[in-house]
Amino acid sequence: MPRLPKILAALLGLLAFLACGSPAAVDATEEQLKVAFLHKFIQFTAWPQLPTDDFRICMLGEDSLHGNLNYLTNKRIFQLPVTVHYLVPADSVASCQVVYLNPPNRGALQRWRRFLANQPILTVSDDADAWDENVIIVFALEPNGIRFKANLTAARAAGLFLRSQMLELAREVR
Amino acid sequence: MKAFSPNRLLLVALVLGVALPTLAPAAEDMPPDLLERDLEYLTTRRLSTVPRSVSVTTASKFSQTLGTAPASVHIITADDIQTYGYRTLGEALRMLPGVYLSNDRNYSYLGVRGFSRPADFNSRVLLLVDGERINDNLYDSAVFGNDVPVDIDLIDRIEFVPGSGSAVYGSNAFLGVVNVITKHGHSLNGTELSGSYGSFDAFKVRGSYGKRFDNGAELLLSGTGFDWEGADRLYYREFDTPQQHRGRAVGLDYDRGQTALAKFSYHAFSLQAGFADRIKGIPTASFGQVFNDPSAKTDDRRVFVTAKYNDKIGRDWDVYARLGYNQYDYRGTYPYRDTTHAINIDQGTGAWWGGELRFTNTGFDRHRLMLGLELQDNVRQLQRNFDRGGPVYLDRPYRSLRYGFFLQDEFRLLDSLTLMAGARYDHTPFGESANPRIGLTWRALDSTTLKFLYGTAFRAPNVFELFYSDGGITAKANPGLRPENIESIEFDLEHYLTPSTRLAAAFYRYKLNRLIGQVNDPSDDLLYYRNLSGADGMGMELEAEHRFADGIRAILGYSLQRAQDSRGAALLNSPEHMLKLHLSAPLASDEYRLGWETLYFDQRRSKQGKVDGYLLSNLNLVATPLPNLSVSLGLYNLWNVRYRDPVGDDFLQDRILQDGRGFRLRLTVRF
Repeated sequence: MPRLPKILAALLGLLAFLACGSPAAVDATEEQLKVAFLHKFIQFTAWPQLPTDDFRICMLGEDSLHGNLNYLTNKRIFQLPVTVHYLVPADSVASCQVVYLNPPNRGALQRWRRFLANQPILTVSDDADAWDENVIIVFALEPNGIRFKANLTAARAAGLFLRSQMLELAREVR
Repeated sequence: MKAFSPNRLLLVALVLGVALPTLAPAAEDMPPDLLERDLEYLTTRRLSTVPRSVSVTTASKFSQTLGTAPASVHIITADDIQTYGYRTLGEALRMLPGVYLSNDRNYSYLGVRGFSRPADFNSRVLLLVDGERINDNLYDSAVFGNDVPVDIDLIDRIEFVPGSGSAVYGSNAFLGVVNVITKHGHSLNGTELSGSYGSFDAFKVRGSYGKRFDNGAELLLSGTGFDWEGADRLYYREFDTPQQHRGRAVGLDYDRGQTALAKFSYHAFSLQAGFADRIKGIPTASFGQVFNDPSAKTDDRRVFVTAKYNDKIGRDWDVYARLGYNQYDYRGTYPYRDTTHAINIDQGTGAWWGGELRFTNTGFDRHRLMLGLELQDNVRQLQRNFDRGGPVYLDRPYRSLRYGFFLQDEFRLLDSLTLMAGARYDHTPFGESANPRIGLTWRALDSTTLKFLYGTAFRAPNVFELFYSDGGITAKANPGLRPENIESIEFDLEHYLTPSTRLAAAFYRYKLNRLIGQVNDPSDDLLYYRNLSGADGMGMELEAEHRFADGIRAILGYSLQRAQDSRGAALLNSPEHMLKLHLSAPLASDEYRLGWETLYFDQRRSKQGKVDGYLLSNLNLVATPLPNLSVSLGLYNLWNVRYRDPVGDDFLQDRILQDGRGFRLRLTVRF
C-alpha cells in the first residue's frame, strides 16, 4: 500500500487545518437563531392595524430564549422601535403585536390560546403541543437546524396576513 | 501500515475528539449579520448548541420531544447523509450506537444491540417508509442496501427506536424500529439531477422533481437507476480446485436496479407510491450452488401504494387512517449440478393490504390517549421452487389475515415527569400475543433527563419458516413453529454539560424466548426452522456530542454488548465492543464541508471461529461552489482494511471478505 502514507499525511494536514483554521461562518445557538427567525416572521406578516408608539414583543412563560429577544430591542420594524416585554400582566397582553409562548404544560397553553384567540397577535412557540393548539408559527427543531410550520387558518382568524415568501419556506402549512 | 496502524490512528482520533472541545468554547454573542440574513439562509443554518426539543414521531406514533419519548430515539438527518456520504440506508444506520452491519455479498443485515443471526433476513427489525411497513409477508425481511424502495438522497430523516416496540407496532418490532421519513415536494422546489460514479464501476443517476403549489398541495416525483459492477474478481479458498476456476468468482458481484418514489399531499390527505427492483449477482455459491456460475442471482422487487388521512376532529380528537397495498416478488436463480447442470428457481410472491386507524384524544387534562387498530390481509403468500424445465419441489400458496389493537396513554404526572403506558394485542394465524410497554421519563434538572423503560415484543413465524421445503434437497418445513418473544428493560440518562455538549448513556437487558432459528436436522441432514431455547443480552451505549461555534461537530460513541445463548456461549456475529467517532467541519467557508467517520467493531464469533475486529474510516468532502451545484467526493475504507463478516449455514465459507478502499464522486445540479 504505497499510497497510504500520502493519504494519511493529507488527512492529518487537513485535520490540523481544521483544528487551527478559523472558518468564516459562525454558527448560532438555538435561541439566537430563533430570534433571527422571529425577526423575519415579523417582516413577513401584515397586521390590520399597527400601534403608534412602539412594536411590542412579549414573552409568556419562562424566558426560553435566554434574553436573546433583547437583541431586537430598538430595532425598527414598520418604522416603530421594538420593545421586549417579560412577565406581561394578563390585561396588557392584548397590546402585544407578537407573543412568544413558553407554557409549562399543555393546560397552560390551552388557557393562553383561549385568551389570545382571534386577537391580531402573531403567536409563536416551540412547544411540542403548540401545533395542535393552533399557534400561528411553530418552530420545528431539527438535530442540526431549525425549521418552522405555519398555521394559515389561525393567522386568518387573528386577522393577520402571512406573506408567501415566508410560507414557501415553511415545512408545513395548514 | 507499519507506521500508522489502525489502532494508532484511532488514538489520534480519540485525542482529537477529546482535545477539540477545549479549543473553542461556544460563542455567547449573536453572530454578526444574523438578524440581517434572509429567511432561506436561516432555514439552512446549523446550530452551535444541541437542541433539546427535537420532536420524533416513531416511538409512540405521535409527535413528542426526544426527552419524553419512551426510548432512546436516534435521528439521522439528510444533512448527516450528505456530510458523511452515506450510500445506503445500512451505512447511515451504522453510525448509531449499538448498530452494526454485515453483508454476505447478496444482502445487508442490520445488527442491533449484539443481535444479528447469520441466515436471518432482518426479520427482527421493523422497517417503515413514512409509516408504511416494508417488511414483506413471506420472509418478514427488512432491507438496508440498494433494495430499499427510497433513494437515500430523498430521505429527510431516519428515526431509529431501539428496543421492544410491539406494544405499538405488533410483530417484527422486536429489536427496533427504523422509520425512513422522506422529503416533501417543497424541499426540492424544482428539478434535481444527480449522478455518481465510484469504485468497482458503480454508476448511479437520479432525477427528481418537487413542488408545493399555491393551494398548498405538494408533489414529489423521483426515479433512480444504478449499476454497480462490484469487485470483478473474488477469491474463496473453499472452492480452490481446478474444476471450480481456482476459487475465483468473476463478474458476479454486480448490483443493479431502479427505484422510484411518488408523493402527493393536499391538506389532510396524502398519497404515496414507492418501487424498487434490484438484481444482485451471487459470487459466493451460497446454498450449495455451482461456483462461479454466471446465472447465480437474486431479483427482489418491492412496490407499495399508500393513502393516508390525518386530521383533527373537533377540539380534542385527532384521526389517522392509512390504507396501503404492497407487493413483494423475489426470484432466486440458483445453478446446481448433481448429474446434470440444472437451474433451480426459488420464488416468493407476496401481496398484502394493510390498514390502520388511530384516534388520539387530548381532552383529559394531562393525558394523551391513543386507540388504534391495524389490519393486514395477506392476499398472496406464494412460495415456489422448481428446476427450470424440470420438477416442481414446492408450490405452496397461502392466504392469511392478521390484526392488532393497541391502546396507549401519555400521562403527565408532573410537568417534568411523564408516564407512557401502552399495550397491544395481536392475532395471527400462527399465534397471538399481548405486549405491554411502560416508559417513565423524568426531567430531573433542566439539563438532565432520566428514563426507565420496560416492554415486550414478539414476532410470529413467517410462512417461509413454517412451510418452506425444496423437496428434501436442502430444507424442510416445520408448521409447528410458535411466535418468539423478547422482554427488555432499559435505563437511559441524558445530560447537557453545556448547551453545546450532550452526554447520553443507555443501559439495557433483554431476554429472548422461543427464538426461531435455522438448524440442521442430523437425521436427514436438512435445514429447518425451530423454536430454540432462547438467548439474552445486556449492554450499554455511551455517547458524547460537542458542537463548536465555528461549525465543527464531534460525536464519540462507545457501546458494549454481551449477547449469549442459553448455554452461555456468545452469539454468532455479535461484537462485544464498538467505538464510533464522527467529525464534521466546514473547510474555510460554509460551502465546503468535511465529514469523517471512524468506526471500530470488535471481533465476532463465526461458525468455525472468530472474525477479527476492524477499523473502518470513511472521509467525505461536500462542496457547494454554486447555489445550484453540489459536488461530493467520498473515500471509503480509507486504510484498505481487509475485514470479513460471518455468514450462516447456507454458506460453505465461514466468513465473507468485504470491500477494500473505494471512492465515490457525486455531482448534483438543481434548477
